[in-house]
Amino acid sequence: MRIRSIRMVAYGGVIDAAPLPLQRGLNVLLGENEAGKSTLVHAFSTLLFGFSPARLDAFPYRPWYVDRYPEIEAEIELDDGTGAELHRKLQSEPQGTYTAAGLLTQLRNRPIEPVHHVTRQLYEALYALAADDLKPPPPDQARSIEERLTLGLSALPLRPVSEVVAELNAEAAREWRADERGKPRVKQLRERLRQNRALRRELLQDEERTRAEHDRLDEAAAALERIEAHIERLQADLQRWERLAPLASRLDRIEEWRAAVGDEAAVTQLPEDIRGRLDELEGVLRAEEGHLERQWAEIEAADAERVALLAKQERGRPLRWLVASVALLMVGVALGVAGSLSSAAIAASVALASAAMAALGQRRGIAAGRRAEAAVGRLRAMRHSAEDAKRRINEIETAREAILRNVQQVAATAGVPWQGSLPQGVQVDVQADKAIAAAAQRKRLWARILEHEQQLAEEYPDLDRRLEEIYALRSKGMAALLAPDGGADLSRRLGELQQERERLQHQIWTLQERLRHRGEKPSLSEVEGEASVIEAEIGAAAFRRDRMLLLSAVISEAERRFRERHRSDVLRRSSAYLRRITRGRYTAMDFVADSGGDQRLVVMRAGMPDPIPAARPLSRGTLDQIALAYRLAVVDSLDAGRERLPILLDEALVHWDDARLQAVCHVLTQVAAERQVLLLTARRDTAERAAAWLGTGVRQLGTTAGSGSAETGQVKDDEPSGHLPYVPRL
Amino acid sequence: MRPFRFVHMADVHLDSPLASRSASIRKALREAQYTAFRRAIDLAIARRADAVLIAGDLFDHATLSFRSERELLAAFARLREAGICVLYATGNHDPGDPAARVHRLSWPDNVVRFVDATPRTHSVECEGRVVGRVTGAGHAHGAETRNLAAAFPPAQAGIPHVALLHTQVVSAAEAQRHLPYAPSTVPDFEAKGFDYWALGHVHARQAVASEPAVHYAGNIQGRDPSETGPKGVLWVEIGAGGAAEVEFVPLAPIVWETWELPCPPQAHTLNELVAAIVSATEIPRPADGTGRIARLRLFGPSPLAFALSDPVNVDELAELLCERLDLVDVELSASGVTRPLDLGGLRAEPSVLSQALALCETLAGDPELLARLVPTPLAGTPDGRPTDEYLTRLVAELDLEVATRLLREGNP
Repeated sequence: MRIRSIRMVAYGGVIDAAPLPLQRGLNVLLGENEAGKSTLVHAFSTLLFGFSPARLDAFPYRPWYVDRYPEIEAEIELDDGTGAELHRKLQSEPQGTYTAAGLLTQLRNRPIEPVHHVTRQLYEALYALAADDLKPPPPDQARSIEERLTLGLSALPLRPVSEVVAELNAEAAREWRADERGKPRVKQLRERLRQNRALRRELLQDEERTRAEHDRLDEAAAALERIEAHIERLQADLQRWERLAPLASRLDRIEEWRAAVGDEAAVTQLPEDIRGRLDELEGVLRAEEGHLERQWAEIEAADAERVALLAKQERGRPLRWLVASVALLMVGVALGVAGSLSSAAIAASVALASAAMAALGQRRGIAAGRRAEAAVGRLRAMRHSAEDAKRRINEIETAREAILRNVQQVAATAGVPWQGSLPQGVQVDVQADKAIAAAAQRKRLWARILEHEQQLAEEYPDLDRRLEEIYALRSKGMAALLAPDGGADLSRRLGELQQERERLQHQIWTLQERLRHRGEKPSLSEVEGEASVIEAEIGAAAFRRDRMLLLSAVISEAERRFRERHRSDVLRRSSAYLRRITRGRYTAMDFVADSGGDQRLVVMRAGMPDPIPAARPLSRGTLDQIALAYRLAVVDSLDAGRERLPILLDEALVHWDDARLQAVCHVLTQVAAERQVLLLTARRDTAERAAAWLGTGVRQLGTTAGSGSAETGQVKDDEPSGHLPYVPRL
Repeated sequence: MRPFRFVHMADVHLDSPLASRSASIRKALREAQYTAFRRAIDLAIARRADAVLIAGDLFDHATLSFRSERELLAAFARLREAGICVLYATGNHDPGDPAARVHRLSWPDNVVRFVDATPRTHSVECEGRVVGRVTGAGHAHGAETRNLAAAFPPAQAGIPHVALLHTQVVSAAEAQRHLPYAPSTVPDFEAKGFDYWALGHVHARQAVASEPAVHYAGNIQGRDPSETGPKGVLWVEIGAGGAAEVEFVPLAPIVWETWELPCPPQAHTLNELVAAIVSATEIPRPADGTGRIARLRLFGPSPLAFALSDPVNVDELAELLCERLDLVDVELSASGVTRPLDLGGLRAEPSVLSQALALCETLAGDPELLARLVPTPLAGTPDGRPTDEYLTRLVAELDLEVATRLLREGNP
């Protein structure tokens, strides 16, 4: 491929330049400083590979003095003789068109198809050489060049081996590293496995805890059940206590009162007011006794009358009156002793007297007799009256006796023994008072019992049932359940049990929560399953690592073998170039590995057995020759079977002496037979000598410093034939 | 005469490690194991079985979990209430070690265990009448290598008589996947006169022999992708004539499927790939709500090889497949998918690649070269040193990967 003409529309300092026609083969271009040599070299790269960088603000050849977009165009001729047109412009976006065989291709910023076999970097390193470029390639570049060559030797679109190997090694290192540095996948997986095993141990312990806690839960549940039942019983007891205990307590008090009362019959018979009653009886007794005394007086009066009568009778009828008198006497005796005689004796006396009087009555008509009868009648009446009085007195005394007997009885149960009788008159008997007071107190107690029993009956409509329950409990020996302090005791025990119930409920809740939380953890089988997955992943990752490194080694080995097989071609070519350029002083070129494994370029000098490293202390000129020879060989190899790209030598030969220059010109002549060569220099003598040795003319790149507004280039065509003038379009 | 009816189950493997990358799937599988076991108990009760026969490996290991213990005792208690006895012969995973917790449990009195090699016979009664006899023997320890079947006494005539044993019948399908414990052969069964041999150990359900009927019930729930298809128990009825009618009853709530599919070359998008996979794996789906977990390995050349090298795309594909195929989960491997490469053509073109392909071809047969190229130490072997087996795996199909790596994407 060659550039027929190139036109810098706006590029760096060159604006609106006329097309620069270029010859097939050799072109010697003379350009003074600032004439645009470097711009032209850069324009070649841009034409073929696009703008770099492709940003207007960063592009170094954005027109320096005018506000224009970088723009460049060229006509090219491919090795098969067909032509193509190329145009590139960098606006906000890079634009590019490539028209070949009538077909326009939008390039945007892509390289044109004929240069696909090299990269921009490789092109600039190998095809566009400046003086400083002519030195043996450093190992990294040599490696890159070689790699490019090995790839370039094949039509396959292969990735650079170093890239693939680096990628594989990086992937392998991401999986596993022998030095355990970083966080490769296997290391992370092992960490997960370690955590998994720790979790497994924890779960195993959890199993034991779970069993123990389930046992405790069962125990606690059973205990709770028992306590619930107990609480229920106690609550029932407490309710019963609340229902029955107050009643039982009152009943107990009544019982106590009853016990204190003692002989209930005796108390019952006591008058309400014992002293009053006794006093009352005393009064009545006194009255009766007074009445009896009066009767006595009357009897005495009757007796006096009898005596008088007796005296009369004695004087009249001695026998009959004797009998009557005896009878009367007997009545008198009887009456005289009435206070102490029994009523039966009095009655017998009176009956005797009456019989005597009846015998006397046979003598009716006798006045004395009638008077006697009257006296007997009075005596009889008195007898009845006395008998009544005596009877009442007896009754009162009986009543008194009964009361006193009861009092004695009741007082005795109260601990107040009293055997005496009541004092008469104003006499005071302290013991009697005590006894009466005690009896009266018991009587009051009894009254209270009755009153309370009445109240109970009124307060408790179901008294009988309650009483039955109470008696039933007591008969079963469960009286303690009705004890007055039983309620407090029950409440206390209930409280304790409720507390215990709460404690158990809390314990159960805690255990259940703990078990629930534990249940949320994965099971042992799940964790063990995960472990097997992790172990499999570790195995897979380790395998991938080994596989990556094996792949990497296989590819590296393949490249080494391939390169060795094909390096000989490059070395053969470069050795041939070197021999010609050095006129036989150096005979061959080769690569040897240094101690670090890097490939070093060496040369063989004629007549010397050992290779010499292509580095100092070899002279600058020799090193330039070696570098040029190597590059030409590489370029040949790269372009083999593809478009042969132009070579640009920009002051590359400036340090060369005439002999070397002549030698290289000779070589370049041969090179130019196959590809376009542009030799650019600012030195007229160099240009002219080279042109002479190359058998061509010198064309000058014109420079016109246009007051900073524009720079244009032009060529003085020293060889007018066939070349278009290169003039600025102003 | 009433037939002897029983459930034959085996290899429940409670507490077995459940290998899945997903924690939720592991949990689901664990629950599925319990569910399958409960379903077996439900079946026995619903069909009024006379007995439940368990042919070993009821547990996976001696560390019986509390959950499994409770499940188990509750299940047996239910059978007890229903008047169904359990005849359980131990296997290599749950040997009758008296010190093991498993065997110190308070078993309900309806459970008859055969925990050592000495065969014993138990009569199964129904309503006071003996309806069948079961002679069983168990593994006393975890590595029983004797032929226990050979020591079984002859069957008694007149009443259906069943033998219960955990054994590796060496000729059984997939027997080689299990350790050769209590190994036996079909002739061992033929001589004894039992009407039915209820076996455990091999997880693939199968009839080992028909005269007499010798069956593996298979395990009750698949635990990993290797245990594919429906799993459950056998329902067996043996009539007066001694002929056993055997019915498989699927019980596993989750079924494993394993598919190995060549990646369809016509699929150029994930959606096209999903459609192709769906049509290739379209098998009748269980109508009873049984879930399916699939392990799908795609392999072979595909225009989607590059896309499928991205785990994000693989995950997305797996998600789409789960949805389209109504799967509980899918473990998708696309590492075997390669770019559609013409290795022959690539070998013919002189290049580093053809050189590398040539190396791949010779690598397996050149131990010296292999030893030089294999990394040292190796990550994938226990001591970092190579073994023949590992190296064979390592170099397998290296050529495709070499080509895939070296060629630029989009330019095969």
